[in-house]
Amino acid sequence: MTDDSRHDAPLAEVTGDAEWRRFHPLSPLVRGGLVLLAVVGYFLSQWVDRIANSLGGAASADEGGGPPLLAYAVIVPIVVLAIALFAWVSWRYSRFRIGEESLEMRKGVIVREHRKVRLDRIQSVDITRSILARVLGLAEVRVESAGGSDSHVSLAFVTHDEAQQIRRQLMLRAAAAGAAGPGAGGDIDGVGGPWPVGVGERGEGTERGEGTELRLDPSHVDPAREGTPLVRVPTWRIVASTLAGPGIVALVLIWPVLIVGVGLGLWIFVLPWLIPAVLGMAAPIGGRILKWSNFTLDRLPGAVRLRRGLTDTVASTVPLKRVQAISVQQPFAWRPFNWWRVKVNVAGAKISESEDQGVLLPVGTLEEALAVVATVDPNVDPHLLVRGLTQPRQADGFEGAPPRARWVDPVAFRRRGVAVTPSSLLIRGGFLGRRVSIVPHARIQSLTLDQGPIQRTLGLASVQPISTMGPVHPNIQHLSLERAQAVFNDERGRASQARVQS
Amino acid sequence: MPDSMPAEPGPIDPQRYPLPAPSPAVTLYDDGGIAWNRVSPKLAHTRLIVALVVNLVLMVALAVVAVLWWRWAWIGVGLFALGAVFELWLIPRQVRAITWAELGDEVVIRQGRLLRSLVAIPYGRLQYVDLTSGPLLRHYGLATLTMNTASPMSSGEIPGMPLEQAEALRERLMRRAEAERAGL
Repeated sequence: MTDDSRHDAPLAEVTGDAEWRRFHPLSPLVRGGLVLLAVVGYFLSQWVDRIANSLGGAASADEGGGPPLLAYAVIVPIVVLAIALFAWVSWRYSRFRIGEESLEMRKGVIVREHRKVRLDRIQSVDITRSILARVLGLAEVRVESAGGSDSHVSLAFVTHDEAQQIRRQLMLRAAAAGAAGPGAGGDIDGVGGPWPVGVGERGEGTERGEGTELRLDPSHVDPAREGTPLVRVPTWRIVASTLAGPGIVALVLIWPVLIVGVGLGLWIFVLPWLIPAVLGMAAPIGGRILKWSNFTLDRLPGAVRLRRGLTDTVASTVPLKRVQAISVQQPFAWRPFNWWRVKVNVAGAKISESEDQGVLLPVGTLEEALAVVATVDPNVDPHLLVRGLTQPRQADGFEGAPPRARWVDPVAFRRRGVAVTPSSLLIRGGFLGRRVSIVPHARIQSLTLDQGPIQRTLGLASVQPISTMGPVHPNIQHLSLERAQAVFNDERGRASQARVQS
Repeated sequence: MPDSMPAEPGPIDPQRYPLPAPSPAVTLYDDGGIAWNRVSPKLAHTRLIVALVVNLVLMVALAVVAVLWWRWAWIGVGLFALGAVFELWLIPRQVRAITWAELGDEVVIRQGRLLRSLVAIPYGRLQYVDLTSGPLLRHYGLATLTMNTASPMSSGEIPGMPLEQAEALRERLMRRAEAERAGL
């Protein structure tokens, strides 16, 4: 392929000496692995059937219905060869390189794709390994960056050692690029630098290479280096907590049907309904368990690192400076076990609707949840937080919704409340489930005061401190108009003061 | 000590959490001593034109249906006529309800009659400011100014500003955003 090296030549001149690198040759196999296995498996099974049938003497009856054995003997190798050729070509044409300022990836033969991500915009570098990749000793490096939905890059696949080396290199260079000037990291202002590394070295870290590396704390960069363990969630708790919600629903819904069905001898009618229902429930439960097993949260300087997954292990790092809001919540079914979940909004994180987004602690005891909150935001008063989470009805230190709010919010108004602390707003809510959202004054994007027609007749209003996108949606609902305006104006001042100080 | 706090819901204690820099308080209804800017009353014209044209088209379509096939469609025509009258009443009021002001640290915008809202967007949080103007708005020399922060949920909009005023405001906002950002 002489022409693609010619194709690369002008770019290489522009961006300097970094070399284009290829992915691991087995990459297409891992990426398309299951499809390939399925296709081969299908043909094989057909073939075996046919042989078995012809041996059994049923061949003559079957022969007219499908292509003869010989056809398979020709088709299968052709299909496999075609797939292999396609995989090889796509592998030949996919490459990446890490320059001083950007990470670039090219792929595609007919539709060519060239993606370039500025290193100073990098938000996170994660290593992901599917089970097939693990068997082959490969890994995928996922790079998330600020700006645009197509600004992430997945380097799939490289060897695991190479992945760690790439991650290290990217993070070092990202830190160096971010330190190059105050404007470089200004993509989302007021939400921290591009990466926690090197933030303290700003202003003098303009030169790159050895000098920059030495000033960085290696534990940020070296994924092999252990942080301080913060929480390890035992797998039984993941299983139990996942079953606690839907499992109970399943019992309540399915059990009576089953009993009645069997009692009346209606097996035939019950089973076709029951089996899909059970499978439909079991699949997401199984998925969640696979996803969250082996969960550990480690404390790194300026960041926390999550690792999880039974078959596919995923490790990701959340820089604490980028955390915009925290939510501690408890679904109703977890109440008897005193389990809690902690979620956060992270600035610049990929926006997705998945319910796993921003989870810092999938299920933990109250102490573990408090430890996570204390790590993320040490200014939160744990006593106030615990009161907000656990006290029934009004909690001490929180300003609640007035009783007339029952007309717009008949059940949950009792638990609603807000506490203003020197560093943040604590907003409690929920009725069956329980929750407290924490928004630091310094992290509020903007403030909204809303009043709908019913609220108006009752003289109520809601205040929303707006955070960045994520699972936490802080909302102080149904204060009296007067108090809502007071909280709104007070918070304007606090946010403004906090912005100046940060 | 947090444990000594009152159990009853009450106002936030200003002595425990003093607030050194009071900025002018804004309220949802009265002007509270702030000079609120209104948007151009011509905005009501553009909105009325759009609303009435839509109503008219639907009324004509329903009237055709009523004459040719189904008499009860006249009810629909009547409802749309009522709707048009309601819009004639509502839209000018809605437009008058849109007010905005530039304060020391933020832009505040009030909107809505039935669903009232008050938004405060700090200069330091502005990512970019957009001016948009469709053909109808442009005909009236108006533009819509949209302020964007890092969260898509917290964008603020001032519709129907005279074009020069909107451009000047955008310039000012961008300058202030730059200045406040540099301090971070």
